[in-house]
Amino acid sequence: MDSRRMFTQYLRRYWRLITLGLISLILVDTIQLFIPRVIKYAIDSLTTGEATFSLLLKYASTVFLLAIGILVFRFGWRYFIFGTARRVERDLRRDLFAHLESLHLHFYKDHKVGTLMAHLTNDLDAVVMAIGMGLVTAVDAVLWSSFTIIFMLLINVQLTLYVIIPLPLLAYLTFYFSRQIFTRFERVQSSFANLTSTVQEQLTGIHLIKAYNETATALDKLKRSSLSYVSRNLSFIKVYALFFPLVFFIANISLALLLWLGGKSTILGTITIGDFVAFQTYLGMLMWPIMGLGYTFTVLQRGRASWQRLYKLFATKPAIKSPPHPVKPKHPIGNLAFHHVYFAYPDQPTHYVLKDINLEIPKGTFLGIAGEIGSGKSTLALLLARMYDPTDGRITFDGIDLRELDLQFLRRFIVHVPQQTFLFSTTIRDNIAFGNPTASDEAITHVCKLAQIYDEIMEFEDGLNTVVGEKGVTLSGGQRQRITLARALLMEPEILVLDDPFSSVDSEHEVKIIKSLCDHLRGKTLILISHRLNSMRFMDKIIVLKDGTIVETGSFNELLLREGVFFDLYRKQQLKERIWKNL
Amino acid sequence: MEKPVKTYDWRIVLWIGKFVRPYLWVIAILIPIVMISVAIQAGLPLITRTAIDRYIMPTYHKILPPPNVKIEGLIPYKDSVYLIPTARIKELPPALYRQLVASGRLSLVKYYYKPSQNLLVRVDELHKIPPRELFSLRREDILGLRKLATLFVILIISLFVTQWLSDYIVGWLGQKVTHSIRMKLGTHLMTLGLPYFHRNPSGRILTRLTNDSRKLQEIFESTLIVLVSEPFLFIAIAVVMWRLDHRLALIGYGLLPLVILLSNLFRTRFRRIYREVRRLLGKLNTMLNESFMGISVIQLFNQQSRILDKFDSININYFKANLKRIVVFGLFYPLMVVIQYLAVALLILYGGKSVLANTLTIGVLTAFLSYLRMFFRPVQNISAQFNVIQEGLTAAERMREIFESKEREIDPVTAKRIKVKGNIEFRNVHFAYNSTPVLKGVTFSIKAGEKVALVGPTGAGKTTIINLLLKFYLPKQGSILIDGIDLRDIERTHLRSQIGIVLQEPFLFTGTLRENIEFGRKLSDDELDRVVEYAQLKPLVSRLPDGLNTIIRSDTLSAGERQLVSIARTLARNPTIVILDEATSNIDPETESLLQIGIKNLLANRTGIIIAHRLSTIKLVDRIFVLWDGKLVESGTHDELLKRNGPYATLYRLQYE
Repeated sequence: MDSRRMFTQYLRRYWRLITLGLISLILVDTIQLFIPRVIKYAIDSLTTGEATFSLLLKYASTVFLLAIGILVFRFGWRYFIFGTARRVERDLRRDLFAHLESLHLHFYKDHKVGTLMAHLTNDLDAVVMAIGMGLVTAVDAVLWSSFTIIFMLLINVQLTLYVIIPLPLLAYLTFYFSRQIFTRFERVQSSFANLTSTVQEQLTGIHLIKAYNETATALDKLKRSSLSYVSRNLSFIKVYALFFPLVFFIANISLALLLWLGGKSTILGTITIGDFVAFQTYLGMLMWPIMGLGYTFTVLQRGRASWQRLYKLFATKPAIKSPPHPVKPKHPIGNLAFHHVYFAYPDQPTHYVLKDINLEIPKGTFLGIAGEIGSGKSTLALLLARMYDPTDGRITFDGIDLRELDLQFLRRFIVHVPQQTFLFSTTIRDNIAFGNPTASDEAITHVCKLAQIYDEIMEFEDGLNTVVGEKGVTLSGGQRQRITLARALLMEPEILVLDDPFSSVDSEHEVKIIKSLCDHLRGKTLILISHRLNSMRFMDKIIVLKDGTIVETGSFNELLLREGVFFDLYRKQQLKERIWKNL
Repeated sequence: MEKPVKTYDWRIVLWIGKFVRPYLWVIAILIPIVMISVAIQAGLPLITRTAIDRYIMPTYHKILPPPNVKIEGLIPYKDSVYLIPTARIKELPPALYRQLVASGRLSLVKYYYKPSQNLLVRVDELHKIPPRELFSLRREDILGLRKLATLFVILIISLFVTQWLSDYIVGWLGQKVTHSIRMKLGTHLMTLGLPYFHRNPSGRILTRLTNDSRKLQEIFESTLIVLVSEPFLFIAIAVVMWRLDHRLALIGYGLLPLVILLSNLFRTRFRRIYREVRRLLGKLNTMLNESFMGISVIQLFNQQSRILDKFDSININYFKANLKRIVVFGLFYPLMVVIQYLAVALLILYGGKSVLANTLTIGVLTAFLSYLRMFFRPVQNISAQFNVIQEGLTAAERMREIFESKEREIDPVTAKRIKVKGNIEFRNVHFAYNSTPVLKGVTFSIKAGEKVALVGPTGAGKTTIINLLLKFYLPKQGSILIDGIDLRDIERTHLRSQIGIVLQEPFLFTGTLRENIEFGRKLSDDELDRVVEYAQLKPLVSRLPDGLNTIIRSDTLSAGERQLVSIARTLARNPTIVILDEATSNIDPETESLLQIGIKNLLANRTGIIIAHRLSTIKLVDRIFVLWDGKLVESGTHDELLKRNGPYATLYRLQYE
């Protein structure tokens, strides 16, 4: 679907509302035109002396009734048109969010969270603005201004032509200034962001600033940021402060022309005094739609540009998704196998992180993966959960290629706990029950105990209902890791992949957790990546990765007997730990 | 959050006033400018009135003054017949007016009168005069009108200039004042000790300096001009209306309570809805942010649709709040318009009646059309500012609170500025950040020029020793001496200027590499070259696109490179004592070897304290202190410790055998 069709689709849903809004808008514009006319008749009747009290009462009540009409229909168009804009905003935000959720992990490496946020706020705002204000000002600019001018022409052609001379200038100035104001305001915003990051940096580096005695330098930098923010603001104010006075000035020139030329025509009897007063009112009215004309261009332009950016997001296809006819095994066992798997990250297509990996992981295996940083351990785990697909080769599940499986099924069967712990800023309970929101308290307590975090949670005043993050408690790295583990365990996975899950937990604790985990997971598959090789003794089979290839395979004891890479790493770690313990 | 400022209002306003004081001269300029602009705005409709009543439609009535009554300002016409301008009829005492009309001594027929020819024409017969004659008849009126139009143009030009100036001045003032508050706040923050920063989340302090200062700025940008000009405009219009016509002015005055009532009624609604909208938008953005950050967890746990539902429910609430806002705004503004037109209707009715009774001229009626429109606007404008003021003052109050924190780093007046030689001594030092002791009686001494390694597991107290030495904290018990003088008696800034520190996770500020090395010190090119060479930064400098002038951030360099930059930064200051907290993270072999040389250069001829993680670094030092659980458990030279066969010896053998 192309960008225009997609956009009109969003609007078409609300065509009834839009129609009602436009009708109300046109009615308001028309009603407003009649009020000066009534005033004109009233004044003319007064000058000619035809007026009587009952006639005046008629005029007065007409004005008031017209005003009630304006109230009703003006409310109507605001409600219908602005309401539609907000509805489209709501739909777009929802759809965008749903779409972004479906995109693959790599997309998020390419796009900073800040940029995505900007799309969902600023760009969405601009689109809403274009729909709401854009529509209204466009209609007003065309209809209202031409109606008004027609009414004025009906009174007197020549005078009308004279007094509308300054109006094109008004339209142009609005066009020019609204663009200037927008761009300058954006510059103010970016310099405000800059000021914020300067302050943030200084607060983060306060230790250093103090230690180096460089408060003066820091303040100087703050001053520069603040002054640059001030100067951007001033450049904005310069235009902004000029805009409205200038607009009123131009409109007032029209009034001056009316005073001189219209006054003269009245003296000479070409028009009546009532006409003269009505002209004055019409000119006052004409100002807004004419300004709107200039404004519409800017709003529509920006809305268009923003829509293009949003459309680009929509057009990004998820790289990892279920195939059109996904396989959903009826009686899955869960034997995994790697067949000549090669992998390179999309941003570095020539750099293979995994090379020719062949590996069988029958259901029920406890597999340990060891190796130095950057040897490809985490990547291997990511491939299993299909966060990425192999560049070459295949990974199979009971002989079926992972890419043919139903993705939901796969990720329900295999639960992967990434290295970086991520907790939502909600309660501990909600975090643990993230994948299984209906879990019972017993189940949650059980997994907390398994992950050896239960007692610590109970020490918090609110227990499981303790809120995590800025608004609540700050958890230690180890606590976060164990909560993350509990979250995974609650899913009761058949295959559990743990990527260095205990790096911040002390080694005694780690051994305890792994022991209880192994008892609990009997019959299931456990894939454990850990730097603490001591935990590997509980694994049935260990592979050692180096530069993306498997260099050693075997049981814990076999590997130690072999006295190879694994043995070397293990011995050093063991001795180091023993020393600190004996101190 | 919702805590509105009440009792403190005036104190805060006075506090802000302190920062405005240097700019009182600006306000002195601003006020006359605003006054001129207000006067012109209130005066413009009078020009239309004058145009109509004096030039376009000047009307007169025939009057036969009763013999015993003296009426001022009558124009003698013929015999005993005088003329009275319509505008003056209402000045007649009502009793007299009734008597004159009843006795037929005052004609209600309107005449046009040309004084130069003493010519009287009935107004409704003017249009029967052929155009050419009419033109010459009314020549003087047309010339008068032209003068008036010229005056109008002069006034609108002045209005344009004064409005422009006052808007600009007010914006400028806001910028200057908030800038000075920001700087004052920053300066104050810099005098506060580290404990303050450890206790207060940096996010909160950040908000004070950025968002809160911006809210305060809004008071100046949008509120100040309204508060200065609108009350005057309001009074000016009220006075002009009263002087033009009492009864018609009463239409405006009478409707005023309704306008105020409505504005107040809606103001609280506006605020409530506005807060609701903002609260939901904040929630929406928090959730967006968190979902993007945790996208892998969402996908791994198959929770896309549940999270989407949660997001959408906030999204829908946000939409509903916005719709409510549309309804409230959609009612308020049109209601105001209705009141305006109600005023117009009443004007037509009562004004028209007066015109019929010849007690009101068309010109005044027309002027009232404008005035009644203008009269309610200041009320609306001022009312609209209440919320901005409330927000701004609350923000100011929060900013002021920072000034109240007294945790400043202050040295006793007797504190000395000494030139440090580099002898360090800890005497039975105890320390705790809160209740858990971190140091439990540490005693050691380091001679000037000596290099010492601190070895021990995390939490043993290594970092605390450094914090105490830099006088970020004072020992709870025991004392620290430098060159035999207690640290308490040494001025801390002077002390710190002689200590260089390389942190484990070196922090780089956004800026060029050169700025990060200089960090406030200006270096000549030669000096800079030497520093770069000693710190082994040459390979990095040649790799960066703009060399030393490349803009870097903490996350653009590797940990090892950052440590090198940090070494250069320390070298540039030529300190007497060097503290080095070695990086633990993996560093590639090439950087590692550069780092070894850099560290060696850094330590040359200086007292050095190194928190060592690599035994290879430990080999560089003279003595090794092994710390465990807040105590010094072992110390000595490398050889001594090896001979003692204690924990250090085992550790060393492990790494190198």
